[in-house]
Amino acid sequence: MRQDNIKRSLDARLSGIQAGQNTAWQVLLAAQQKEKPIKKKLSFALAATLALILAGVALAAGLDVFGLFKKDEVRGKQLEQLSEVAQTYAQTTTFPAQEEKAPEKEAPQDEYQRLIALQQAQTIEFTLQQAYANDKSISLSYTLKDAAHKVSYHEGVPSGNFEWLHEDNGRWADTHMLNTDDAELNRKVATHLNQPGSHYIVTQSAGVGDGASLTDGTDLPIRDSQIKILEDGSVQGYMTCRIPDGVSADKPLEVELIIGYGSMVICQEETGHKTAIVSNPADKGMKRIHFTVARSGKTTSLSGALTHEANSPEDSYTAQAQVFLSPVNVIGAVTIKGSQVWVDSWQAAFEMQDGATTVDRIYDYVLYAGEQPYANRGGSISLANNGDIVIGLDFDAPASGQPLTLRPVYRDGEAPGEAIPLQ
Amino acid sequence: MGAICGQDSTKVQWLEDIVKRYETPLKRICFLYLRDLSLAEDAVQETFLKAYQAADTFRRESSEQTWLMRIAINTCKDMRRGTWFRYVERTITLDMLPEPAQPCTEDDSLLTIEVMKLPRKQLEAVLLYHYQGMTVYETAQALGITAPSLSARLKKAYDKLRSTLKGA
Repeated sequence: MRQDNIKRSLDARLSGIQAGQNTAWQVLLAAQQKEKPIKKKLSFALAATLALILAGVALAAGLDVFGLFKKDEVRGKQLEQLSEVAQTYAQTTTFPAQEEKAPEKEAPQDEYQRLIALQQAQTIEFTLQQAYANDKSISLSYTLKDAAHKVSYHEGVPSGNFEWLHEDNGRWADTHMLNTDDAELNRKVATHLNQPGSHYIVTQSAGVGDGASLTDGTDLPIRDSQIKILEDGSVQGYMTCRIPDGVSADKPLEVELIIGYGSMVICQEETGHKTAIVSNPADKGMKRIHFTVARSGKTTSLSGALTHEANSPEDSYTAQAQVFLSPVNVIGAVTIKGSQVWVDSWQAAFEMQDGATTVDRIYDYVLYAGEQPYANRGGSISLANNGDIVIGLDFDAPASGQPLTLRPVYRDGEAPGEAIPLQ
Repeated sequence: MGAICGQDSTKVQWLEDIVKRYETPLKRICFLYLRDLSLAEDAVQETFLKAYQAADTFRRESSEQTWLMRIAINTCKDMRRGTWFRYVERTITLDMLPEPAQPCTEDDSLLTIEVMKLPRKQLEAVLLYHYQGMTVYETAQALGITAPSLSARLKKAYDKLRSTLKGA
Protein backbone atom coordinates (compact mmCIF):
# COMPACT_ATOMS: atom_id res chain seq x y z
CA MET A 1 0.00 0.00 0.00
CA ARG A 2 1.49 3.31 -1.00
CA GLN A 3 0.52 6.66 0.43
CA ASP A 4 0.42 8.35 -2.98
CA ASN A 5 -1.82 5.55 -4.27
CA ILE A 6 -4.43 6.28 -1.63
CA LYS A 7 -4.33 10.01 -2.29
CA ARG A 8 -4.34 9.51 -6.05
CA SER A 9 -7.32 7.14 -5.88
CA LEU A 10 -9.30 9.46 -3.63
CA ASP A 11 -8.56 12.50 -5.79
CA ALA A 12 -9.52 10.62 -8.97
CA ARG A 13 -12.79 9.27 -7.62
CA LEU A 14 -13.77 12.57 -6.05
CA SER A 15 -12.80 14.64 -9.07
CA GLY A 16 -16.47 15.52 -9.50
CA ILE A 17 -16.36 17.53 -6.30
CA GLN A 18 -15.35 20.98 -7.41
CA ALA A 19 -15.30 24.49 -6.04
CA GLY A 20 -18.56 26.44 -5.80
CA GLN A 21 -19.36 29.73 -7.45
CA ASN A 22 -19.75 32.17 -4.58
CA THR A 23 -17.88 30.69 -1.64
CA ALA A 24 -15.74 33.72 -0.87
CA TRP A 25 -18.79 35.96 -1.01
CA GLN A 26 -20.71 33.64 1.32
CA VAL A 27 -17.81 33.58 3.78
CA LEU A 28 -17.67 37.36 3.83
CA LEU A 29 -21.42 37.50 4.35
CA ALA A 30 -21.17 34.99 7.23
CA ALA A 31 -18.32 36.99 8.76
CA GLN A 32 -20.68 39.94 9.12
CA GLN A 33 -23.23 37.88 11.02
CA LYS A 34 -22.56 37.61 14.71
CA GLU A 35 -24.71 34.62 15.51
CA LYS A 36 -25.04 31.26 13.90
CA PRO A 37 -28.24 29.22 13.87
CA ILE A 38 -28.36 26.75 16.74
CA LYS A 39 -29.57 23.28 15.96
CA LYS A 40 -31.96 21.63 18.31
CA LYS A 41 -30.33 19.33 20.80
CA LEU A 42 -31.24 15.82 21.75
CA SER A 43 -30.66 14.09 25.04
CA PHE A 44 -27.27 12.45 24.95
CA ALA A 45 -28.34 9.05 26.18
CA LEU A 46 -31.06 8.73 23.61
CA ALA A 47 -28.80 9.97 20.87
CA ALA A 48 -26.14 7.47 21.86
CA THR A 49 -28.70 4.74 21.83
CA LEU A 50 -30.06 5.57 18.43
CA ALA A 51 -26.56 5.83 17.09
CA LEU A 52 -26.09 2.18 17.91
CA ILE A 53 -23.70 0.80 15.35
CA LEU A 54 -23.92 -2.78 14.28
CA ALA A 55 -20.28 -3.47 14.93
CA GLY A 56 -20.40 -7.13 14.07
CA VAL A 57 -22.74 -10.05 14.32
CA ALA A 58 -21.88 -12.73 16.85
CA LEU A 59 -23.11 -16.25 16.46
CA ALA A 60 -24.65 -17.02 19.82
CA ALA A 61 -25.19 -15.54 23.21
CA GLY A 62 -22.87 -16.68 25.96
CA LEU A 63 -22.04 -15.86 29.52
CA ASP A 64 -18.42 -14.93 28.85
CA VAL A 65 -19.05 -11.63 27.12
CA PHE A 66 -15.53 -10.33 27.82
CA GLY A 67 -14.21 -13.42 26.04
CA LEU A 68 -16.29 -12.48 23.00
CA PHE A 69 -13.90 -9.61 22.36
CA LYS A 70 -10.59 -11.25 23.21
CA LYS A 71 -9.43 -11.22 19.59
CA ASP A 72 -9.47 -7.42 19.61
CA GLU A 73 -6.03 -6.26 18.49
CA VAL A 74 -5.60 -3.51 21.03
CA ARG A 75 -7.54 -4.67 24.07
CA GLY A 76 -7.64 -8.41 23.42
CA LYS A 77 -5.09 -9.41 26.04
CA GLN A 78 -6.75 -7.31 28.74
CA LEU A 79 -10.20 -8.65 27.84
CA GLU A 80 -8.90 -12.20 27.98
CA GLN A 81 -7.59 -11.47 31.48
CA LEU A 82 -10.93 -9.90 32.40
CA SER A 83 -12.81 -13.00 31.30
CA GLU A 84 -10.67 -14.98 33.75
CA VAL A 85 -10.92 -12.73 36.80
CA ALA A 86 -14.45 -11.33 36.42
CA GLN A 87 -17.24 -12.72 38.56
CA THR A 88 -20.34 -14.07 36.86
CA TYR A 89 -23.51 -12.27 37.89
CA ALA A 90 -26.14 -13.36 35.33
CA GLN A 91 -28.47 -10.90 37.01
CA THR A 92 -31.45 -9.81 34.91
CA THR A 93 -33.48 -6.64 35.31
CA THR A 94 -36.71 -6.39 33.35
CA PHE A 95 -38.78 -3.28 32.72
CA PRO A 96 -42.15 -4.57 31.60
CA ALA A 97 -44.34 -2.74 29.15
CA GLN A 98 -46.03 0.31 30.66
CA GLU A 99 -49.35 -0.61 32.21
CA GLU A 100 -52.48 0.89 30.74
CA LYS A 101 -54.28 3.04 33.25
CA ALA A 102 -57.57 3.26 31.46
CA PRO A 103 -59.67 0.11 31.55
CA GLU A 104 -60.27 0.36 27.84
CA LYS A 105 -57.46 1.98 25.97
CA GLU A 106 -58.45 4.07 23.01
CA ALA A 107 -56.86 3.21 19.72
CA PRO A 108 -54.08 5.66 18.74
CA GLN A 109 -55.54 8.53 16.78
CA ASP A 110 -52.50 9.24 14.66
CA GLU A 111 -49.07 7.90 13.81
CA TYR A 112 -47.32 9.91 16.50
CA GLN A 113 -49.57 8.43 19.15
CA ARG A 114 -49.09 4.97 17.68
CA LEU A 115 -45.31 5.32 18.01
CA ILE A 116 -45.63 6.58 21.58
CA ALA A 117 -47.76 3.51 22.31
CA LEU A 118 -45.07 1.39 20.69
CA GLN A 119 -42.49 2.80 23.12
CA GLN A 120 -44.79 2.24 26.05
CA ALA A 121 -45.36 -1.36 24.99
CA GLN A 122 -41.65 -2.13 24.83
CA THR A 123 -40.13 -4.50 27.36
CA ILE A 124 -36.52 -3.80 28.27
CA GLU A 125 -34.50 -6.75 29.54
CA PHE A 126 -30.95 -6.12 30.73
CA THR A 127 -28.67 -8.82 32.10
CA LEU A 128 -25.47 -7.99 33.94
CA GLN A 129 -23.31 -10.91 32.83
CA GLN A 130 -19.91 -10.33 34.42
CA ALA A 131 -18.19 -7.68 36.47
CA TYR A 132 -14.77 -6.97 37.87
CA ALA A 133 -13.98 -4.03 40.09
CA ASN A 134 -10.88 -2.99 41.96
CA ASP A 135 -10.04 0.34 43.56
CA LYS A 136 -9.33 2.08 40.24
CA SER A 137 -11.74 0.73 37.64
CA ILE A 138 -14.84 -1.29 37.05
CA SER A 139 -15.57 -3.48 34.03
CA LEU A 140 -19.04 -4.76 33.22
CA SER A 141 -20.38 -7.04 30.54
CA TYR A 142 -24.05 -7.29 29.67
CA THR A 143 -26.75 -8.51 27.35
CA LEU A 144 -29.58 -6.24 26.26
CA LYS A 145 -32.35 -8.31 24.77
CA ASP A 146 -34.04 -7.45 21.51
CA ALA A 147 -32.19 -4.16 21.15
CA ALA A 148 -30.91 -4.12 17.56
CA HIS A 149 -32.41 -1.81 14.96
CA LYS A 150 -35.83 -2.81 13.74
CA VAL A 151 -37.06 -0.92 10.70
CA SER A 152 -40.63 -0.63 9.49
CA TYR A 153 -41.71 0.88 6.17
CA HIS A 154 -44.69 3.14 5.59
CA GLU A 155 -46.40 5.17 2.88
CA GLY A 156 -47.36 8.82 3.04
CA VAL A 157 -46.42 11.39 5.68
CA PRO A 158 -46.77 10.37 9.35
CA SER A 159 -49.65 12.14 11.02
CA GLY A 160 -49.54 13.73 14.44
CA ASN A 161 -47.59 16.14 16.54
CA PHE A 162 -44.03 15.27 15.49
CA GLU A 163 -41.24 17.64 16.45
CA TRP A 164 -39.10 17.53 13.34
CA LEU A 165 -35.49 18.01 14.38
CA HIS A 166 -34.08 18.32 10.93
CA GLU A 167 -35.58 19.28 7.61
CA ASP A 168 -33.68 19.55 4.38
CA ASN A 169 -34.27 19.70 0.67
CA GLY A 170 -33.47 16.80 -1.60
CA ARG A 171 -33.48 13.07 -1.09
CA TRP A 172 -32.36 11.64 2.24
CA ALA A 173 -31.26 8.39 0.66
CA ASP A 174 -28.85 10.20 -1.65
CA THR A 175 -26.52 10.98 1.21
CA HIS A 176 -27.81 9.40 4.41
CA MET A 177 -28.12 5.74 5.19
CA LEU A 178 -28.50 3.77 8.36
CA ASN A 179 -25.00 3.00 9.53
CA THR A 180 -25.16 -0.74 9.54
CA ASP A 181 -23.00 -3.24 7.75
CA ASP A 182 -26.22 -4.83 6.57
CA ALA A 183 -26.13 -3.82 2.90
CA GLU A 184 -29.50 -5.45 2.27
CA LEU A 185 -31.12 -3.30 4.96
CA ASN A 186 -29.56 -0.15 3.54
CA ARG A 187 -30.71 -1.07 0.04
CA LYS A 188 -34.22 -1.72 1.28
CA VAL A 189 -34.39 1.63 3.09
CA ALA A 190 -33.07 3.51 0.06
CA THR A 191 -35.47 1.76 -2.30
CA HIS A 192 -38.41 2.52 -0.07
CA LEU A 193 -37.58 6.20 0.41
CA ASN A 194 -36.76 6.73 -3.25
CA GLN A 195 -40.21 5.73 -4.47
CA PRO A 196 -42.32 8.48 -6.04
CA GLY A 197 -44.58 10.26 -3.57
CA SER A 198 -44.12 10.44 0.19
CA HIS A 199 -42.78 7.57 2.27
CA TYR A 200 -41.25 7.14 5.67
CA ILE A 201 -39.44 4.59 7.78
CA VAL A 202 -39.44 4.06 11.53
CA THR A 203 -36.43 2.56 13.31
CA GLN A 204 -36.70 1.19 16.81
CA SER A 205 -33.65 0.37 18.94
CA ALA A 206 -32.22 0.33 22.44
CA GLY A 207 -28.73 0.54 23.87
CA VAL A 208 -26.70 1.06 27.00
CA GLY A 209 -25.43 4.62 27.36
CA ASP A 210 -21.68 5.08 27.61
CA GLY A 211 -20.35 5.48 31.13
CA ALA A 212 -21.95 4.77 34.48
CA SER A 213 -22.43 6.41 37.83
CA LEU A 214 -22.75 5.43 41.45
CA THR A 215 -26.13 5.81 43.06
CA ASP A 216 -24.71 8.68 45.16
CA GLY A 217 -24.21 10.58 41.91
CA THR A 218 -20.47 9.99 41.49
CA ASP A 219 -19.66 9.86 37.79
CA LEU A 220 -17.69 6.86 36.51
CA PRO A 221 -16.11 8.11 33.25
CA ILE A 222 -15.89 5.57 30.48
CA ARG A 223 -12.50 4.30 29.36
CA ASP A 224 -13.44 1.64 26.85
CA SER A 225 -16.49 -0.12 25.44
CA GLN A 226 -17.53 -2.37 22.59
CA ILE A 227 -20.72 -4.10 21.49
CA LYS A 228 -21.74 -6.96 19.26
CA ILE A 229 -25.15 -7.72 17.83
CA LEU A 230 -26.35 -11.26 18.22
CA GLU A 231 -28.34 -13.10 15.61
CA ASP A 232 -31.47 -12.90 17.76
CA GLY A 233 -31.30 -9.09 17.84
CA SER A 234 -29.82 -8.86 21.33
CA VAL A 235 -26.80 -6.70 22.02
CA GLN A 236 -23.85 -7.93 24.04
CA GLY A 237 -21.17 -5.55 25.16
CA TYR A 238 -18.85 -4.41 27.84
CA MET A 239 -17.63 -1.17 29.28
CA THR A 240 -14.76 -0.24 31.53
CA CYS A 241 -15.06 2.89 33.65
CA ARG A 242 -12.62 4.74 35.85
CA ILE A 243 -13.36 4.99 39.55
CA PRO A 244 -12.45 8.49 40.70
CA ASP A 245 -10.27 9.15 43.74
CA GLY A 246 -12.32 9.58 46.87
CA VAL A 247 -14.55 6.57 46.35
CA SER A 248 -14.08 4.07 49.17
CA ALA A 249 -11.91 1.20 47.94
CA ASP A 250 -13.46 -1.40 50.22
CA LYS A 251 -17.20 -1.08 49.88
CA PRO A 252 -19.17 -2.72 47.08
CA LEU A 253 -20.14 -0.36 44.28
CA GLU A 254 -23.78 0.63 43.88
CA VAL A 255 -23.87 1.23 40.14
CA GLU A 256 -26.39 2.93 37.90
CA LEU A 257 -26.51 2.48 34.13
CA ILE A 258 -28.81 4.21 31.69
CA ILE A 259 -30.53 2.37 28.91
CA GLY A 260 -31.90 4.50 26.13
CA TYR A 261 -34.64 3.35 23.80
CA GLY A 262 -36.70 5.05 21.17
CA SER A 263 -37.68 5.45 17.55
CA MET A 264 -36.33 7.57 14.74
CA VAL A 265 -38.69 8.58 11.96
CA ILE A 266 -37.34 9.54 8.55
CA CYS A 267 -39.84 10.93 6.09
CA GLN A 268 -39.12 11.55 2.42
CA GLU A 269 -41.45 13.81 0.49
CA GLU A 270 -41.13 14.92 -3.14
CA THR A 271 -39.08 18.00 -2.38
CA GLY A 272 -37.34 17.27 0.89
CA HIS A 273 -36.86 15.04 3.90
CA LYS A 274 -37.27 15.39 7.65
CA THR A 275 -36.31 13.42 10.73
CA ALA A 276 -37.84 13.13 14.20
CA ILE A 277 -37.14 11.22 17.40
CA VAL A 278 -40.00 9.67 19.30
CA SER A 279 -39.46 8.62 22.90
CA ASN A 280 -41.71 7.56 25.73
CA PRO A 281 -42.79 10.78 27.50
CA ALA A 282 -43.03 8.92 30.81
CA ASP A 283 -39.26 8.41 31.05
CA LYS A 284 -37.94 10.38 28.05
CA GLY A 285 -36.71 7.12 26.55
CA MET A 286 -34.40 6.27 29.43
CA LYS A 287 -34.45 3.43 31.94
CA ARG A 288 -32.13 3.38 34.94
CA ILE A 289 -30.62 0.06 35.99
CA HIS A 290 -29.20 -0.40 39.48
CA PHE A 291 -26.99 -3.22 40.71
CA THR A 292 -24.23 -3.92 43.21
CA VAL A 293 -20.75 -4.96 42.15
CA ALA A 294 -18.35 -6.49 44.65
CA ARG A 295 -14.72 -5.40 44.79
CA SER A 296 -13.09 -8.55 43.53
CA GLY A 297 -9.60 -7.17 43.16
CA LYS A 298 -7.13 -4.59 44.37
CA THR A 299 -4.38 -2.77 42.61
CA THR A 300 -0.80 -2.47 43.73
CA SER A 301 0.59 1.04 43.56
CA LEU A 302 4.10 1.65 42.28
CA SER A 303 5.79 4.95 41.70
CA GLY A 304 9.01 6.41 40.47
CA ALA A 305 10.63 9.72 39.60
CA LEU A 306 13.40 11.06 37.43
CA THR A 307 15.18 14.38 37.00
CA HIS A 308 16.83 14.68 33.64
CA GLU A 309 19.48 17.32 33.15
CA ALA A 310 20.01 17.68 29.41
CA ASN A 311 22.66 19.70 27.63
CA SER A 312 19.99 22.20 26.68
CA PRO A 313 17.68 23.60 29.39
CA GLU A 314 14.84 23.28 26.90
CA ASP A 315 15.19 19.50 27.05
CA SER A 316 15.59 19.15 30.82
CA TYR A 317 12.62 17.91 32.79
CA THR A 318 11.42 16.13 35.89
CA ALA A 319 8.98 13.24 35.72
CA GLN A 320 6.79 11.63 38.37
CA ALA A 321 5.22 8.28 37.57
CA GLN A 322 2.49 6.45 39.39
CA VAL A 323 1.01 3.19 38.17
CA PHE A 324 -1.51 0.71 39.50
CA LEU A 325 -1.01 -2.98 38.79
CA SER A 326 -3.90 -5.41 38.55
CA PRO A 327 -4.25 -8.87 37.00
CA VAL A 328 -5.86 -7.14 34.01
CA ASN A 329 -3.62 -4.21 33.25
CA VAL A 330 -1.25 -1.51 34.42
CA ILE A 331 -2.77 1.94 34.37
CA GLY A 332 -1.47 5.27 35.60
CA ALA A 333 0.25 8.38 34.38
CA VAL A 334 3.57 10.14 34.11
CA THR A 335 3.48 13.82 34.99
CA ILE A 336 6.26 15.82 33.36
CA LYS A 337 7.39 19.28 34.31
CA GLY A 338 9.16 20.36 31.16
CA SER A 339 10.38 23.57 29.62
CA GLN A 340 8.01 26.23 28.29
CA VAL A 341 9.13 25.18 24.82
CA TRP A 342 7.71 21.71 25.46
CA VAL A 343 4.51 23.11 26.91
CA ASP A 344 4.03 25.49 23.98
CA SER A 345 4.67 22.77 21.45
CA TRP A 346 2.06 20.51 23.06
CA GLN A 347 -0.43 23.33 23.16
CA ALA A 348 0.26 23.95 19.48
CA ALA A 349 -0.08 20.24 18.72
CA PHE A 350 -3.49 20.05 20.35
CA GLU A 351 -4.57 23.06 18.32
CA MET A 352 -3.11 21.45 15.20
CA GLN A 353 -0.94 24.44 14.54
CA ASP A 354 2.01 24.35 12.23
CA GLY A 355 5.41 23.95 13.81
CA ALA A 356 3.93 21.91 16.66
CA THR A 357 6.03 18.89 15.93
CA THR A 358 9.38 20.52 15.32
CA VAL A 359 10.24 20.22 19.02
CA ASP A 360 11.48 16.76 19.95
CA ARG A 361 10.08 15.90 23.36
CA ILE A 362 8.70 12.85 25.18
CA TYR A 363 5.39 11.77 23.74
CA ASP A 364 4.98 8.23 25.08
CA TYR A 365 6.31 5.61 27.50
CA VAL A 366 6.97 1.92 27.09
CA LEU A 367 6.73 -0.37 30.11
CA TYR A 368 9.55 -2.85 30.54
CA ALA A 369 9.21 -5.93 32.74
CA GLY A 370 12.83 -6.98 32.76
CA GLU A 371 13.71 -6.90 29.06
CA GLN A 372 10.13 -7.49 27.87
CA PRO A 373 8.51 -4.34 26.43
CA TYR A 374 4.79 -3.55 26.69
CA ALA A 375 3.29 -0.90 24.43
CA ASN A 376 0.97 1.79 25.75
CA ARG A 377 -2.49 0.59 24.64
CA GLY A 378 -4.65 3.57 25.27
CA GLY A 379 -2.29 6.28 26.36
CA SER A 380 -3.53 9.83 26.19
CA ILE A 381 -1.59 13.06 26.39
CA SER A 382 -2.95 16.13 28.09
CA LEU A 383 -1.79 19.46 29.35
CA ALA A 384 -2.80 20.38 32.90
CA ASN A 385 -3.77 23.94 33.79
CA ASN A 386 -0.44 24.40 35.58
CA GLY A 387 1.48 23.39 32.46
CA ASP A 388 2.25 19.84 33.54
CA ILE A 389 2.34 17.39 30.65
CA VAL A 390 0.43 14.27 31.63
CA ILE A 391 0.97 11.08 29.66
CA GLY A 392 -1.64 8.44 30.43
CA LEU A 393 -0.52 4.83 30.70
CA ASP A 394 -2.45 1.67 29.92
CA PHE A 395 -0.42 -1.50 29.49
CA ASP A 396 -1.29 -5.17 29.38
CA ALA A 397 -0.51 -6.89 32.66
CA PRO A 398 3.18 -7.89 32.56
CA ALA A 399 4.76 -11.13 33.68
CA SER A 400 5.13 -11.00 37.43
CA GLY A 401 8.37 -11.00 39.30
CA GLN A 402 10.29 -8.80 36.90
CA PRO A 403 11.50 -5.30 37.80
CA LEU A 404 9.37 -2.66 36.08
CA THR A 405 10.69 0.46 34.38
CA LEU A 406 9.15 3.10 32.13
CA ARG A 407 11.18 4.21 29.13
CA PRO A 408 10.32 7.53 27.50
CA VAL A 409 9.85 7.66 23.74
CA TYR A 410 11.08 10.54 21.62
CA ARG A 411 10.75 11.07 17.89
CA ASP A 412 13.85 8.96 17.25
CA GLY A 413 12.85 6.19 19.61
CA GLU A 414 13.16 5.10 23.21
CA ALA A 415 15.63 6.66 25.62
CA PRO A 416 16.79 3.86 27.97
CA GLY A 417 19.04 6.33 29.81
CA GLU A 418 15.94 8.22 30.99
CA ALA A 419 14.04 5.15 32.23
CA ILE A 420 12.02 5.55 35.43
CA PRO A 421 12.34 2.58 37.79
CA LEU A 422 9.07 1.72 39.49
CA GLN A 423 8.87 0.46 43.05
CA MET B 1 0.46 37.10 10.72
CA GLY B 2 2.48 39.70 9.04
CA ALA B 3 1.40 39.14 5.48
CA ILE B 4 -2.34 39.50 5.83
CA CYS B 5 -2.87 42.14 8.46
CA GLY B 6 -3.43 45.08 6.23
CA GLN B 7 -6.43 46.86 4.87
CA ASP B 8 -9.69 44.96 4.72
CA SER B 9 -9.42 44.95 0.97
CA THR B 10 -6.12 43.11 1.25
CA LYS B 11 -7.72 40.60 3.56
CA VAL B 12 -10.62 40.10 1.19
CA GLN B 13 -8.20 39.60 -1.66
CA TRP B 14 -6.34 37.02 0.41
CA LEU B 15 -9.61 35.23 1.16
CA GLU B 16 -10.52 35.12 -2.51
CA ASP B 17 -7.08 33.74 -3.26
CA ILE B 18 -7.18 30.91 -0.71
CA VAL B 19 -10.75 30.03 -1.69
CA LYS B 20 -9.66 29.78 -5.30
CA ARG B 21 -6.68 27.59 -4.50
CA TYR B 22 -7.94 25.36 -1.72
CA GLU B 23 -11.71 25.04 -1.92
CA THR B 24 -11.67 21.88 -4.01
CA PRO B 25 -9.19 19.82 -1.92
CA LEU B 26 -10.84 21.02 1.29
CA LYS B 27 -14.26 20.04 0.03
CA ARG B 28 -12.98 16.57 -0.85
CA ILE B 29 -11.40 15.96 2.54
CA CYS B 30 -14.54 17.23 4.32
CA PHE B 31 -16.70 14.98 2.13
CA LEU B 32 -14.54 11.98 3.03
CA TYR B 33 -14.94 12.84 6.69
CA LEU B 34 -18.62 13.76 6.76
CA ARG B 35 -19.96 11.51 3.94
CA ASP B 36 -22.33 14.25 2.89
CA LEU B 37 -21.64 16.81 0.20
CA SER B 38 -24.00 19.36 1.68
CA LEU B 39 -22.36 19.10 5.11
CA ALA B 40 -18.93 19.18 3.47
CA GLU B 41 -19.83 22.46 1.79
CA ASP B 42 -20.91 23.86 5.17
CA ALA B 43 -17.65 22.66 6.74
CA VAL B 44 -15.56 24.26 4.01
CA GLN B 45 -17.39 27.56 4.38
CA GLU B 46 -16.87 27.35 8.15
CA THR B 47 -13.19 26.60 7.58
CA PHE B 48 -12.68 29.67 5.42
CA LEU B 49 -14.66 31.75 7.90
CA LYS B 50 -12.41 30.62 10.77
CA ALA B 51 -9.34 31.23 8.64
CA TYR B 52 -10.58 34.70 7.71
CA GLN B 53 -11.29 35.55 11.34
CA ALA B 54 -7.95 34.12 12.50
CA ALA B 55 -5.96 35.54 9.62
CA ASP B 56 -4.10 37.94 11.89
CA THR B 57 -2.65 35.06 13.90
CA PHE B 58 -1.51 33.04 10.93
CA ARG B 59 2.26 32.93 10.55
CA ARG B 60 3.42 33.11 6.97
CA GLU B 61 6.36 30.77 7.61
CA SER B 62 4.02 27.82 8.05
CA SER B 63 2.19 26.06 5.25
CA GLU B 64 -1.06 27.78 4.40
CA GLN B 65 -2.48 24.57 3.01
CA THR B 66 -1.61 22.54 6.11
CA TRP B 67 -3.08 25.23 8.32
CA LEU B 68 -6.35 25.19 6.38
CA MET B 69 -6.47 21.39 6.31
CA ARG B 70 -6.13 21.28 10.06
CA ILE B 71 -8.87 23.85 10.57
CA ALA B 72 -11.05 21.78 8.23
CA ILE B 73 -10.41 18.54 10.11
CA ASN B 74 -11.18 20.23 13.43
CA THR B 75 -14.35 21.71 11.96
CA CYS B 76 -15.44 18.30 10.71
CA LYS B 77 -14.67 16.78 14.11
CA ASP B 78 -16.86 19.40 15.74
CA MET B 79 -19.66 18.69 13.29
CA ARG B 80 -19.39 14.97 13.91
CA ARG B 81 -19.49 15.56 17.65
CA GLY B 82 -22.74 17.42 17.18
CA THR B 83 -25.93 15.86 18.35
CA TRP B 84 -27.42 15.88 14.93
CA PHE B 85 -24.59 13.83 13.47
CA ARG B 86 -24.69 11.39 16.36
CA TYR B 87 -28.07 10.05 15.57
CA VAL B 88 -28.31 10.42 11.84
CA GLU B 89 -26.06 7.60 10.82
CA ARG B 90 -24.33 8.01 7.52
CA THR B 91 -23.06 5.37 5.20
CA ILE B 92 -22.60 5.85 1.51
CA THR B 93 -22.78 3.39 -1.34
CA LEU B 94 -20.89 3.40 -4.60
CA ASP B 95 -23.62 4.85 -6.78
CA MET B 96 -24.09 7.74 -4.35
CA LEU B 97 -20.62 9.19 -4.81
CA PRO B 98 -20.54 12.28 -7.02
CA GLU B 99 -19.81 11.43 -10.65
CA PRO B 100 -16.06 11.66 -11.26
CA ALA B 101 -14.91 14.40 -13.62
CA GLN B 102 -11.90 12.42 -14.78
CA PRO B 103 -11.35 8.75 -15.63
CA CYS B 104 -10.98 6.54 -12.61
CA THR B 105 -10.76 2.82 -12.05
CA GLU B 106 -13.07 0.51 -10.18
CA ASP B 107 -10.32 0.18 -7.55
CA ASP B 108 -10.40 3.95 -7.07
CA SER B 109 -14.12 3.81 -6.39
CA LEU B 110 -13.93 0.85 -4.06
CA LEU B 111 -11.02 2.34 -2.15
CA THR B 112 -12.87 5.64 -1.70
CA ILE B 113 -15.92 3.86 -0.34
CA GLU B 114 -13.84 1.72 2.00
CA VAL B 115 -11.95 4.73 3.34
CA MET B 116 -15.21 6.56 4.00
CA LYS B 117 -16.59 3.54 5.86
CA LEU B 118 -13.69 3.49 8.30
CA PRO B 119 -14.56 4.24 11.92
CA ARG B 120 -13.97 7.88 12.86
CA LYS B 121 -10.66 7.43 14.65
CA GLN B 122 -9.19 5.30 11.88
CA LEU B 123 -10.50 7.72 9.27
CA GLU B 124 -8.82 10.67 11.00
CA ALA B 125 -5.54 8.75 11.08
CA VAL B 126 -5.77 7.83 7.39
CA LEU B 127 -6.78 11.33 6.30
CA LEU B 128 -3.96 13.03 8.19
CA TYR B 129 -1.31 10.41 7.47
CA HIS B 130 -2.15 9.42 3.90
CA TYR B 131 -4.20 12.25 2.45
CA GLN B 132 -2.61 15.14 4.31
CA GLY B 133 0.82 13.48 4.11
CA MET B 134 1.80 14.06 7.72
CA THR B 135 4.40 11.79 9.35
CA VAL B 136 3.49 9.20 11.98
CA TYR B 137 5.02 11.47 14.56
CA GLU B 138 3.07 14.53 13.39
CA THR B 139 -0.17 12.60 12.99
CA ALA B 140 0.03 11.04 16.46
CA GLN B 141 0.68 14.40 18.03
CA ALA B 142 -2.00 16.16 16.04
CA LEU B 143 -4.51 13.57 17.23
CA GLY B 144 -3.26 13.71 20.81
CA ILE B 145 -2.43 10.03 20.93
CA THR B 146 0.70 7.96 21.21
CA ALA B 147 2.53 6.53 18.23
CA PRO B 148 1.60 2.93 19.14
CA SER B 149 -2.04 3.98 19.36
CA LEU B 150 -1.75 5.60 15.94
CA SER B 151 -0.05 2.51 14.55
CA ALA B 152 -2.84 0.37 15.96
CA ARG B 153 -5.44 2.64 14.32
CA LEU B 154 -3.64 2.60 10.98
CA LYS B 155 -3.17 -1.16 11.16
CA LYS B 156 -6.85 -1.65 11.82
CA ALA B 157 -7.60 0.65 8.90
CA TYR B 158 -5.25 -1.29 6.63
CA ASP B 159 -6.88 -4.56 7.64
CA LYS B 160 -10.21 -3.15 6.54
CA LEU B 161 -8.80 -1.66 3.36
CA ARG B 162 -6.54 -4.55 2.45
CA SER B 163 -8.86 -6.46 0.19
CA THR B 164 -9.73 -3.29 -1.69
CA LEU B 165 -6.14 -2.20 -1.95
CA LYS B 166 -4.89 -5.30 -3.68
CA GLY B 167 -3.33 -3.99 -6.83
CA ALA B 168 -3.77 -0.35 -5.87
